Amino acid sequence: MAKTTNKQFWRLIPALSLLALGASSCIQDELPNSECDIEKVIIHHPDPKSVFYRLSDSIKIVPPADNEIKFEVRSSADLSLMNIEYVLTEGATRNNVSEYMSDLIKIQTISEDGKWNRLYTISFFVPDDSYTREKKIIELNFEDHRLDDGGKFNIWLNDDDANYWASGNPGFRLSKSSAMPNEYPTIVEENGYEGHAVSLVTRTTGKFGEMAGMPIAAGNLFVGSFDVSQALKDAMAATLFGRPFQLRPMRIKCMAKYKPGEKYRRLENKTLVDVPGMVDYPDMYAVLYKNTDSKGNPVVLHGDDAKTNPNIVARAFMTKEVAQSISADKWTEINMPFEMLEEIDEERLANRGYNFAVVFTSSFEGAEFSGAEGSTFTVDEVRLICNEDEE
Amino acid sequence: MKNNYYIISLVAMLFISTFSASARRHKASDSIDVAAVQVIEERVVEEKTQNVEFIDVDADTSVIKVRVKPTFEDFTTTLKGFGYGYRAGFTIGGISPMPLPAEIREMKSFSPNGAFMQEIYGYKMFGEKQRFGVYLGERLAVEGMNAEAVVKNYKMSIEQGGDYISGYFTGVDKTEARLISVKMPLEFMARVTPRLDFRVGPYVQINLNKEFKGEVYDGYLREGNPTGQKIVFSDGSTATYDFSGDVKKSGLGAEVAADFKITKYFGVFGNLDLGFGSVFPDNFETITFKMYPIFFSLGLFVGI
Repeated sequence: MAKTTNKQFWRLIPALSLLALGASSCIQDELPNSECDIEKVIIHHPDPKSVFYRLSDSIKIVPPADNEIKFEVRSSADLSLMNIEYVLTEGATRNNVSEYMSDLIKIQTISEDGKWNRLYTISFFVPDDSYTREKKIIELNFEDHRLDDGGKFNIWLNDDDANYWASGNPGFRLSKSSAMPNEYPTIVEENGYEGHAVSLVTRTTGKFGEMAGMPIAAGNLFVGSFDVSQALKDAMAATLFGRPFQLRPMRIKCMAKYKPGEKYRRLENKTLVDVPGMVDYPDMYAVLYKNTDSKGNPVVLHGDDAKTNPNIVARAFMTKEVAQSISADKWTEINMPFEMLEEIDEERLANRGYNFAVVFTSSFEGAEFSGAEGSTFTVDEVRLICNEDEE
Repeated sequence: MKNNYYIISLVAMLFISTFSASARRHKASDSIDVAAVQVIEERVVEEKTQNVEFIDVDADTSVIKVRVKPTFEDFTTTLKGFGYGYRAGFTIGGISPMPLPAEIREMKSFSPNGAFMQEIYGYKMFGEKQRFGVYLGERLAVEGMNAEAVVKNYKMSIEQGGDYISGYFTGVDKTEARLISVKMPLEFMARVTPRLDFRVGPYVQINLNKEFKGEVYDGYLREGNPTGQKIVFSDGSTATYDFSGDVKKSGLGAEVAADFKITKYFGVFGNLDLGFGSVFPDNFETITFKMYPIFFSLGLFVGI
């Protein structure tokens, strides 16, 4: 009896598995790529040293959102001899909208699936040669600022250069898209020491920041760039400090105010823990460093090695005592001489072989996502005294 | 996935060959004493019906087994066509776009989550022969999946408290989904053989507990569109999402099912449930694909 039953029952199984089979569905063929980035541009030239200050400048890895690719070249460069190699997203194609003409090339890229395109400009510029041995004072006043292209947050300009100052604001936008410009960590302070100042405020980053394990964002402003693509992956790697610099920094001064937030919290095991009795204080430091290693590879300082990298040749760090002495109501003058760690090589200096960076942040442990919400560091009238110290 | 097909068809072939092997064995025993079988057969036909299912003659012991085919009456209740019972089983399936869009490149892992059902049911058969009827069930269903898929250009957005990130994600998407619901199938029922019932019909599903959450990692998001900002998630950085609250409170679907009676009061069943629409409301744009619940259950029932 059981035999028959089993027989009939088992006959059902293939039928049922066919049913299940029909219900599940198979993986379809892969769609062509939709991206159409220029990932890398390589300049080939018979005499690259005549074109670039640094050989490594001939290869540009393009940040994914950038549409403007700029090469820094010597004034003596003969660009007509160069050959440009483009590395595009797999499958993407390009059209040269305009050929090499007046140092500006326009390239349109088209994705493999044909649905998306981007317009790039590739340009070559000769940087201002500011090299001199005479005393020079560089003034950074934070008067020039505007909203970013998306109209979400403020960016600061140095003269016309929007690529001089950078902040973590683009990263904050990822976590708090609803924030108004003055709710960002780095904001405009209209009542500066003179004219406008910049205010750095330690903020919480909301649900998104929490999920990324970055619940606190200290306000920051620094000379360099911010790589948004890395912001949620590794915030330390996203901050790229420094721009080529051709003077010897001797002293840095600024006017500052600081108001610590009420409740200091530290990130421990992905959660914020109150630290009773702890009072937040800001940080500020400036460095001059060699921007290539011994093999000629580019060196850029990041959040995690900006104070310790062996390429640093001169430094000015604000001490904890000074940081804690900054008044909340009255402008306090910060005045820090540079400490020379290594002899500065004049030839390297003249050939843009050093980078300079100054970094301001509203919470000294902001890099570790710790600090007191609301801590506010206001900075104005930065003076960088170069070549000859004034005191 | 293509591998899975291969395995399933292999298993199916294995079953089929087993059946044919056992069928051959019976024929062999038939030939042992054809004359004796014929005698028995004649007597059986005389005495009862022509519904002899099989006759097995053991040459050594001379024991002759005769089995009469079951009749519908053997498996039919005497309650004027009414019957009722209880069933319980395991459930496997998922909440998934159908068919799988090309954006899903690979299923890295898949497992049921919860995956249990129990049901009380009743039915009424109609007509003189009582071959057709209606079926009503009330089921507690725990249906869920843990799925890890490699996706490419998967349009998604994450919104939390007014903040959002949206764009095209390429990388790994891990989803944990589980619905605890009351399901009420109302079905047409056909008694195909004395042992076998088929059922088909719609069901109403009321979700008591909803869970749909997950995370994306090992990849990147192109913000807005494929030419937008690239946001990298790797080396342990993830973005988590939780759409549990967005899952609809109720849903409609269709079920096909088969009940096979082993004895008059006990049997095995299988059913396949497919939701008519997405588990998310139409205005839910975070996941652009319609996410259909599709679950298959297999279990045992007792009843009359």
